[in-house]
Amino acid sequence: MRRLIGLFIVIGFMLLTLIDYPAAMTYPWARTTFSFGFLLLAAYLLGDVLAGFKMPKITGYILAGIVFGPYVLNLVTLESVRDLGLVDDLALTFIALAAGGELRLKELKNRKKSILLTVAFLTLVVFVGVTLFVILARPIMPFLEGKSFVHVLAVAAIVGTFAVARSPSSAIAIISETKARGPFTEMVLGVTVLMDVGVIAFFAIVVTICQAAVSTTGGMDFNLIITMTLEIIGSIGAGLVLGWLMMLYIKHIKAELMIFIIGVAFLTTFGAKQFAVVMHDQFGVAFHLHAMLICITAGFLIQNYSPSGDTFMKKIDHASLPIYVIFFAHVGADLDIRTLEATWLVAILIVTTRCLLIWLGAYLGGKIAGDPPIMRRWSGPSFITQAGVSLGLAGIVKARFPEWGAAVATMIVAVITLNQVIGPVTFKLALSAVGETRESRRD
Amino acid sequence: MVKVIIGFVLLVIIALFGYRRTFTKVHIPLGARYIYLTGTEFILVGVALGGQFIGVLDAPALRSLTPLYSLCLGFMGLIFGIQLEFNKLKRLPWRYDLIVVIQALVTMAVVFFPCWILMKYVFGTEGHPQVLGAFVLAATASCTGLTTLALLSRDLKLRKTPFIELLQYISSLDAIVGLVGVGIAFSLMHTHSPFGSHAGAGILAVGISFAIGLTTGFLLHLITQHHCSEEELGVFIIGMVLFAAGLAEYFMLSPLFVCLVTGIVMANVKGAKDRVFYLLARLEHPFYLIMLILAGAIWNVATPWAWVFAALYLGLRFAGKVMGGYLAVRSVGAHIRAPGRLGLGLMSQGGMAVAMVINFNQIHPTEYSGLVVTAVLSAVIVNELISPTLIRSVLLRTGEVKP
Repeated sequence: MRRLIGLFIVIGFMLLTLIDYPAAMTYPWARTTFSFGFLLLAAYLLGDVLAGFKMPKITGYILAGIVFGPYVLNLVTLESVRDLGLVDDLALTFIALAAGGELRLKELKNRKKSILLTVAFLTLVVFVGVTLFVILARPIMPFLEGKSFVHVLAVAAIVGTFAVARSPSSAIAIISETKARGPFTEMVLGVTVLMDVGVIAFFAIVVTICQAAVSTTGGMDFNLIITMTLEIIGSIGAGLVLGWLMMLYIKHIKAELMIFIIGVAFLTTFGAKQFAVVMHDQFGVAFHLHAMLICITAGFLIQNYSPSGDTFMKKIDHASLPIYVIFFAHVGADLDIRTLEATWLVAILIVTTRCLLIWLGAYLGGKIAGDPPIMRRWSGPSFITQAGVSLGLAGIVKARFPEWGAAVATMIVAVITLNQVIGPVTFKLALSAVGETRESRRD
Repeated sequence: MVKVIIGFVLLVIIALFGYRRTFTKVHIPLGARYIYLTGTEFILVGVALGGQFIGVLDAPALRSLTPLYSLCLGFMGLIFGIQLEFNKLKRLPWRYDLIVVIQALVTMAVVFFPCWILMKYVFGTEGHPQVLGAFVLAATASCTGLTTLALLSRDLKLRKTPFIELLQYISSLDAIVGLVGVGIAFSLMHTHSPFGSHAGAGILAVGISFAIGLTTGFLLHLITQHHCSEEELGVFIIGMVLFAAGLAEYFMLSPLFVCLVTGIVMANVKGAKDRVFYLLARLEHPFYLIMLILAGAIWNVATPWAWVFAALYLGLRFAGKVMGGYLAVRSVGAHIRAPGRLGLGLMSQGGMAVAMVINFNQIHPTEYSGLVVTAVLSAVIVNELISPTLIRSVLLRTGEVKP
């Protein structure tokens, strides 16, 4: 109750800042500062309130971002959200280090069959199912009106690809919040990370084929596939180097590990961005390294090939709370909720279809792999969240298909918005049901 | 964006290694010992990183780092405020407080008037800001740093005599006079309120400063009252400092003062104040060093006359402290045994002065801000260099140290 009162007081202050004060009375640059503080407090307090209803805290953080962000109450302005991008970059790479560190090779080897089959069935069932759904739902998508079947197929395939993508950041945040441990958690995390890497390659293949199909010249341009494959290989390579350097630091220096990890997270973001700029300016090539993939690899290496894996994860755990809070609040604030106004019906239908297909794909994968029935039943709800990578790929679709890319991207953002809210709830539910959260382990 | 990221990373790395070197390892050549141990050299690191040299922390990068500035300033205010627990302060004789206030006010007066006249007639600055500039100089002059005295006490293995206790008390507390002064002065600069331009706008702004500080203080108390983990406490403290400092800056008030009020509220209500203080104390040094670097980065000597002005400021502060110490000791008569040269033991200027000048430069940047920044930062460095010798000379006279 006290925290709820606290939340209302903070909101009250923010409302006061919306008054149109004389310019001589204010220093506009400070808006980002108090918005940052407000988001941190409001998101945490809302998360805490929702936790009382057995909801995951990150749902509260995301909701706080959506509700107080620029597209609903506008207590945190769009400008402030953009200014906080720096914090977002730091958080994402930090979370990726955590995700990599959570992948324990021994456990993954034990669950290899289960992970690979679940990835295969999830990809196949969800991609084919959502593609078919979009083709069938063509009459309720105005931007497909009058388009040839090839165009419709291209759009459907691209939406199908997006449906396959998921969010390691959300998964790791829920695992961290619930202190989940066990074979189910390992399997879900393994599948999520593997699919996050796989979806980039899959996306490149699908977009290349679609571009060839809808282009008037008809030729297939393999550049995107080659570039994205090289990007994945390059990012993993950079991650191995980074992980090795971090292992050396932990072994020989060890001082202030937490600040060192935060510094590495920042440097990786910077390095990846700078690399893209150099490739573009010096060689005229659009080639990126994926900071998230670099950090997942580095985290994985430290966890599995150095004796300091546990120390590393303990430090990450200590610094993680404010980072998760501000990251997910920022994710929420950055989600353009207005996209739902125009596409809510289609978005709801796609989300529903995707959820059912995910459940089916995960169930089939688990069954063939011989997973216990309870894991089979609950693995589907663990794969619903979507964020980061999907939003980035939506931008590529917008650029590559000028005719209908923007409309598809808007629809995809709407779908991601819904999945980002639903996903954490269902994942927490699944972890509790299989008995791998700290709370359920105690029971 | 890239510059901001490099700047931030460098700041963190430098702060981290500086923290370890200056506060945890002390194998340093004796000559540079005191200036190095107080971390003052980080101002020079900031100068090197700033727009005049390497350029990583140039003006746009510094502007993007506004939240970090605010966090550091708010943090300084909060940690100062949370130590002001009235019940504990009452344990010492009230005459101690009288000495604190008199020496600080006299120093402020000695520095303010000449600086104001110089800024007005020699440097030709006009209007209200020039008064504020002179006032900030006066307020920074009144601050005394505690670190040098603490290091000297440790090195000379000083016993805790009443005089040492008095010196420590003044050094740890006298910044409050300047802080409150700056907080009120920033508020009184307001000529506009939400109701338009009117004479009472300044008074209203003072009220807003207190309102933000008091409310955020009670709010922090309210949300930390229930048991919460250290991680949660960290979220609440960082969130509240950013919120309070950001609001203060938005309304062109002093985040130092607002967070000082927040801290005083936390210190004087029953709750999680000890846990909050413990956490703040753990984070203090890295934040402090980051603040020194940021201060160095904004240091821009636009005219060689700034050095002359800085020398004058240094001399005025010296005179103010000596005079203030003397008058303060005289005012309490024979009740407290202290030498008339008390002021010589109060020359170290400390981090609060740096925080004040950052605050001023951020909210009221004008063409003469460089003068104020140069005066204060160079004085901080020089004072850190000379203060160990001066403190030692006072202690020799009082017999606390054997020749």
